[in-house]
Amino acid sequence: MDGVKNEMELREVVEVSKRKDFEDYERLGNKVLKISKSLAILGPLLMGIATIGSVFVDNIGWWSWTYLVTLLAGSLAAVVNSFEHGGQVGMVFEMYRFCGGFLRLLEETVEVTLEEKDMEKRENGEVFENKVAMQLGRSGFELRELASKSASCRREGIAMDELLASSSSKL
Amino acid sequence: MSLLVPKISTTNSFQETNASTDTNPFEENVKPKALYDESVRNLNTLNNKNKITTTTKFLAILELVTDRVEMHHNVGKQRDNWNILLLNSINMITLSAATMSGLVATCPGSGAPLLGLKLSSTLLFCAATGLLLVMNKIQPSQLAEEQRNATRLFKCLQTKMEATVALESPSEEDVNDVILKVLALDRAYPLPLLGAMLEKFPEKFEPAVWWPRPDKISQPHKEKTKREKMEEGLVNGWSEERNGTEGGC
Repeated sequence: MDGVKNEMELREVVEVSKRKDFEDYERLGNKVLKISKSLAILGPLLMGIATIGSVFVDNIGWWSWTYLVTLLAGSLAAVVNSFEHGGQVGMVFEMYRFCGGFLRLLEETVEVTLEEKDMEKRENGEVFENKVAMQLGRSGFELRELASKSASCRREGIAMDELLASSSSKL
Repeated sequence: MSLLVPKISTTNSFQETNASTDTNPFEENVKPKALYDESVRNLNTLNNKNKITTTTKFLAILELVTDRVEMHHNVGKQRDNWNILLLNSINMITLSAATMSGLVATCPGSGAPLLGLKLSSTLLFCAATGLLLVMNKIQPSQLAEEQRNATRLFKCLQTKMEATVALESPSEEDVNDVILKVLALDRAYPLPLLGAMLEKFPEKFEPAVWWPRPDKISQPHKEKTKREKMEEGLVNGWSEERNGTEGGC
């Protein structure tokens, strides 16, 4: 009885983490990827404009306005570059990738453990539950609370929004 | 006198065990027992040998993992350095080139000095564009973060392996498991830049995978049975054919 209860709790938690956290990371990751990509294209583009402009810079005649383009493009390129690499946008993207991988690993670990039919071969239930809870930055009690909340929400058909406000991972 | 007694008894027993190999008719009944003992001992040593081989394998992998931790740490530092140096130099080059262009536009007159300023500003802009293209292609900050993650995961694996060795002697399964893990980690965080570098701007966000996936685990099991068959013909871990060729040489 207790084992079945444990299983239900773990499944519930995995479900929540998949629906809430993983999607969060996916959304943010896609956003950061877009930003990083556009910055990476924008920087060299501005720099190229500045390069071409600098060829035509002159202080007399019809070409005298090109210095404006060159200076603007050059300084903008410096700003974009600082923003991209000083702000380490690539690092942020990699971090999201890592977090998404972490959640997926957790999900797969729980699945593999619960699929093992032989109770003796399984990892000790209490130890495993505590491990999962600690990995999500909660105590065992808090994990159980989250699971029961999620289960009751589904049973009564309440919109998940309220529950989703409290994500499974506190990290 | 009392000290002599145990001495005598030990020599006696020694003789007895030795005598079992002799064809002494009085001690025939000892023979089968000794044979049995011998076979058990043989079995034990075989088992022990296997165990020692497995432990040696495991420790070799542990050594490699420790080395990997250090390697990824160093490479991560180096990539972080790239980020700082490239960022600073590109910014300096861009700003000085822009200043030069501004000087050309504002200074009165014409001639060689202005041409020099113009040329150098163009050159600097060209260099900055090239550097920026390279930097945006490899994204040093992302590379550094990858290596940091790899360091962390390898350290985790190292701790786990050390715990396994400390608790009990590792089994063959442990060794295979660890090998799979190391290979998966290597695949997830490759060291070389050319060819093997992770895609920096993938079409879609996909989480990193650094553990052996369950659908891939079934494959090595097949390999394992094949390998076990192969291992039957091994002498001290070497195939006999090789010994033969060496002898022939």
